[in-house]
Amino acid sequence: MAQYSDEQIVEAIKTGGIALERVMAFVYNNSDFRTDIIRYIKSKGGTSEDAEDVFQDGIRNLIMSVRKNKFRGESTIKGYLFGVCRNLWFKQFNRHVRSEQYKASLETDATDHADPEIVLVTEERAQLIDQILGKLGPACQKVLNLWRLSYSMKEIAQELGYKSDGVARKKKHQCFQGLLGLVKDNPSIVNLLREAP
Amino acid sequence: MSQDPFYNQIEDYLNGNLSATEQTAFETAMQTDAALAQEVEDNRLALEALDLLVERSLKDRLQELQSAREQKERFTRKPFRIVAIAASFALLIAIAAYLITKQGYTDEALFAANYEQVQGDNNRGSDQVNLQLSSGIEAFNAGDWALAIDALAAISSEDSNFAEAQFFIGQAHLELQQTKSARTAFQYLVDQQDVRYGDRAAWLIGLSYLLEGDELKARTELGTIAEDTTHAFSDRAKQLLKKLDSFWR
Repeated sequence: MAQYSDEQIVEAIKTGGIALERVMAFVYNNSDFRTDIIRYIKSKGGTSEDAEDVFQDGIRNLIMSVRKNKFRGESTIKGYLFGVCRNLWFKQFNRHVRSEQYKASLETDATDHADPEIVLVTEERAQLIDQILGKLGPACQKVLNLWRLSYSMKEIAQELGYKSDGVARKKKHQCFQGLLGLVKDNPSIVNLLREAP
Repeated sequence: MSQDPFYNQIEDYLNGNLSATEQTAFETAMQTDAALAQEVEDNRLALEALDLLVERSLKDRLQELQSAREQKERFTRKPFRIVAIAASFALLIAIAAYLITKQGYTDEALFAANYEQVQGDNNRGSDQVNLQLSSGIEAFNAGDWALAIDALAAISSEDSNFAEAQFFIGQAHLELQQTKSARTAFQYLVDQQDVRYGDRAAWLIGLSYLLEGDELKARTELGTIAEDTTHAFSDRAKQLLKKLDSFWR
């Protein structure tokens, strides 16, 4: 597997498409990124499954943050991932744990590292928005998802079995117009989308 | 799609792909064109909604990577499982080999391995005693042990063929697993120090005890033979005693 510097990781995420696919696999399988996070979550009462989930959410947060131009690059990717995962775990625990002492210990940890922003949408909001997006149909969801991840029209055509990149472009345009229509016709989704994540 | 060039720039504006000049012009246009501003806002919200799809697809992809990783880890651990399975098989084979080998060291197996039936010559003289001996040996050679015993038992202890008759009577009783009767016949030959059959008879007495599972008496008989270096079965008795002391028993 190719090795990436921090700068190359950010660049590949911005580029999207196949480059993003590859760098995501690199980050996920990089034990240097993974080990400390898994150990930390376990040391804070999490199970192996919790640690795995938080690590994956941390990677998603990194990708979304870079693609939304919210990644400030103030720390290394390793430090960023650790900070995000610690915050995600704190956020998750904050909902369930009443022990102020435990919360205080997590907050103390938080001061030792960079404090990256959580950009992932909450599950509650995701479900509501999902109901609206469901009206688009799976084919449109796929083409728009790939387009939003910066796959080229040629790659989208290959991925989804369209005859040409022209067909993919046309399909994307139709689907995006459909999505715009849904947004315009649903004030509830507009309100949800306007809320901070 | 609107013919207004600004409407075609909405996507680039939202993705930050406009130059500084283009961006300034675009934002100025938005201030004067409420419809354009609304269209930009709707596009922004649509892209926000799309990001939810992207998050979902990233989650799916990461779960695929997790599955692949777990599968790889299982594969990596596989050699250890193979070693464990191989070790189990090796253990089973060792146990089976032990049991099979052990079977070769039972009293019965040691008797069978050391007992050699001696067949007789049934072409004798035409006198009555020789005829009697010949018919007994003929029956013995044919495997009719009971008939052989009957025919040979008819030979008197006064007759010159009596010792030979006792030897075949002893062997016939051994074949019938009548060990006590066999020993009676063989003992006569031992006591007489019969040159032809004495040593073999002593050997067969030892084996007869093995056949009936009396290891102690077998050891005693075999020990006597082994100690007598002039005895024809001395070496074989030593070897058999070693096997009786074997780990495999």
